[in-house]
Amino acid sequence: MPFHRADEFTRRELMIKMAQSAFGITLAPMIGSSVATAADFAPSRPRAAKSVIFLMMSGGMSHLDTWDVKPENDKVMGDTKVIDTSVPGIKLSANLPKTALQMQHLVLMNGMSTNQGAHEQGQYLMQRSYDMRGTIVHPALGSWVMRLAGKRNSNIPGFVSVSGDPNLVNGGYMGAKCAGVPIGDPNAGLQDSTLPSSISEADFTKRLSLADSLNKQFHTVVNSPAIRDHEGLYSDALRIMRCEDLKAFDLSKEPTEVKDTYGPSRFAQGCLLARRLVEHGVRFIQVTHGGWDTHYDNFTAVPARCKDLDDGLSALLRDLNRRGLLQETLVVVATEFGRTPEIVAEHQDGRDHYPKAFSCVLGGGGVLGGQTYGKTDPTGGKVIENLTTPQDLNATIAHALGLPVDQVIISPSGRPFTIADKGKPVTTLFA
Amino acid sequence: MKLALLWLLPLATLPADAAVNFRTQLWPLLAKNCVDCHRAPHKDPSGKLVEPKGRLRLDGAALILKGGSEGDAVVPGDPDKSSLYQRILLPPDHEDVMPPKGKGKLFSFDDSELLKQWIIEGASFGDWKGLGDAPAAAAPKAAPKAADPLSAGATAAPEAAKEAVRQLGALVSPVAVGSPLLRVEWVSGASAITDQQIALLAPLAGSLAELDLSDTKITDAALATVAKFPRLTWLNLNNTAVSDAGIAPLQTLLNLSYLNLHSTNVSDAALPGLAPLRKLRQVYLWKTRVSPAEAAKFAKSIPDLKVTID
Repeated sequence: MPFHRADEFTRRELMIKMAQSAFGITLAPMIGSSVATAADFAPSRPRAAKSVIFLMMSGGMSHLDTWDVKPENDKVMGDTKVIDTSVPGIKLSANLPKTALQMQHLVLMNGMSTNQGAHEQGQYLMQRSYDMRGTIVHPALGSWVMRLAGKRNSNIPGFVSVSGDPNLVNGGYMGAKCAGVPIGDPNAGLQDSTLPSSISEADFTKRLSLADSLNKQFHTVVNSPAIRDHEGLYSDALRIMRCEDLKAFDLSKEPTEVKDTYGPSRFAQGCLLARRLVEHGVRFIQVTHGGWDTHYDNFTAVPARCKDLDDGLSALLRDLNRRGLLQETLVVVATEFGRTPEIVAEHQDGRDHYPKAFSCVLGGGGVLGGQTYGKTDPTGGKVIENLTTPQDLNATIAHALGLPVDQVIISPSGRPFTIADKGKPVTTLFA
Repeated sequence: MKLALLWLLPLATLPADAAVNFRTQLWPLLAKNCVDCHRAPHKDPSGKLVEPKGRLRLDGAALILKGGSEGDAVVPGDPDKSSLYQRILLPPDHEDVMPPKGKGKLFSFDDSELLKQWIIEGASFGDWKGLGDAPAAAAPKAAPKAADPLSAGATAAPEAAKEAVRQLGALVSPVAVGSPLLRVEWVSGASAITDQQIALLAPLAGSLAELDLSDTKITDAALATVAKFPRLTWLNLNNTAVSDAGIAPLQTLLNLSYLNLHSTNVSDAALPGLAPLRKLRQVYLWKTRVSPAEAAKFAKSIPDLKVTID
């Protein structure tokens, strides 16, 4: 068994934190060159996916009103209608008309089941493969990908999170250099990556050379890797400020007609940004779409959420496919749990949390689209075939990327962890 | 003021800047705590033959570099991948910690840091050789068995040739673990790549299987070089100036299964020339001058070929 150990920071982390507070370098640790580059990485099998676009439906997406429809059972379907898709025999909710036309690219994971029925714990398990504990923070899935596969483009971050809670994508015990770089508004691009307008390029260069000359003297006195690391932060930050790859983050570079196919919502524009980032070698892009916690008025709230999901997801699949990128890009639609088959009339027809059965979706990345995996009973309340846990899903994502599912990483506290805990990859989904 | 004081803190515990000396600083630790179990096969007092634990011997420079049944004990430059370092770091009650309970003494923090530093510095043994019949340089590992028919007979590209391509800003990586086949791509800086640089890929011809030239400044002339990569299965020319004339020579690439031509100058006239490529499965023609009718006709000309035009 190979033993790897997550880097401990100690001195180094202190230096980085000091730099953050003293100089306002917030981006630098996450783009650090200390993350291995992909030149050192070989996937476990040929033609593995290179990137993941992880669409997180935060709040608990109702499986019955989206992916796992029960056309024979009006009682659990409520107001939700069912439509045919591009794949004969597979039906979807009428809330997803555009996505239905892309069904040939998708695998519906309709046998998902989790043991976490609260949002925070459910999202934690879905994204980190371990139960939440007070004593340790496990790394996010994207952090694992950074750690095991490294960056493909060393100039820009390898893990980016669009419009979600930054805490959901922190690196846990793997630290800031493996964390997701948060982007609030996809149309605003990468924050703090350009010079303030009050500083001219000439002034900036002058300041840098002054800092250099001061540092040089210091280095002759104290020659230490820890200090050199810290200086590396400056060069990393400089590289990102000046590199042409930065345009990956700039949605204004995208033709209007392309922007329009994705639709105007923040989520859909996040999907477009994700595609641009994939084109520039970013490994893991998470786009969060909130508001799925439909305890009240489920049949008004879900269609509204679905509109943005349908616009963004369908445009993303089509766009990736015609550019020849879909085979190398795994698209995941995930959520922390499903919602009750029972419709709560006194809450204006709402649905409550339902961890026992729910749905996630995989597309591209080498999966054989146009199929379902896992099945619930006629009420959508119980998994009766191919039960899939969040850990299994994460193991399957790891398999798509050609990552070693059994690679042990030792946390700084000395405990062994793997990317998907004891999850088993569903390898039959792949060509 | 508090801030200034904190800055001074790390300086107090800085490691020494001189290189770690294996003979004087590390060998005594290994000899005392590890070598009893990790040495040449020998007979115990009862006459039973004792093999080195985990087939790992730590009593010679070449033997340490050779590793054991669990893989590399020391990967020069990479403490993360060096199990010798990783195992001594485990907590005292961990079942895999080295030395195990009752054998040697656990390494102190300073000693483990010393070992880490030595590995980071390249794991040089200096003039120390220790035991072992093997020469002091680690023997290169035998090439793993070819994972697919395409790799059979593929020659591993010389490191120098790969390095030369990396110098052009390319990402050069194996297509899979243990495969001699390579993928070459410009994830960043593609716009600086012209026909001139493509000529420098020629030494990789025996192992190049995947080539991404999208967004580069190549012209049709570069494809004459590309046509000489017989193991190419995956070729991306998207968003380049290539046209029908450039595509013509590609009919030598009989293993090609993926060809991305979207946003190029390719037209209907290029498609008949691709007909000999019977292994083609995916061709991308969005934003080209190819008509939907010709694309559909072409798709039918090769079994299982999927042509994507929009």
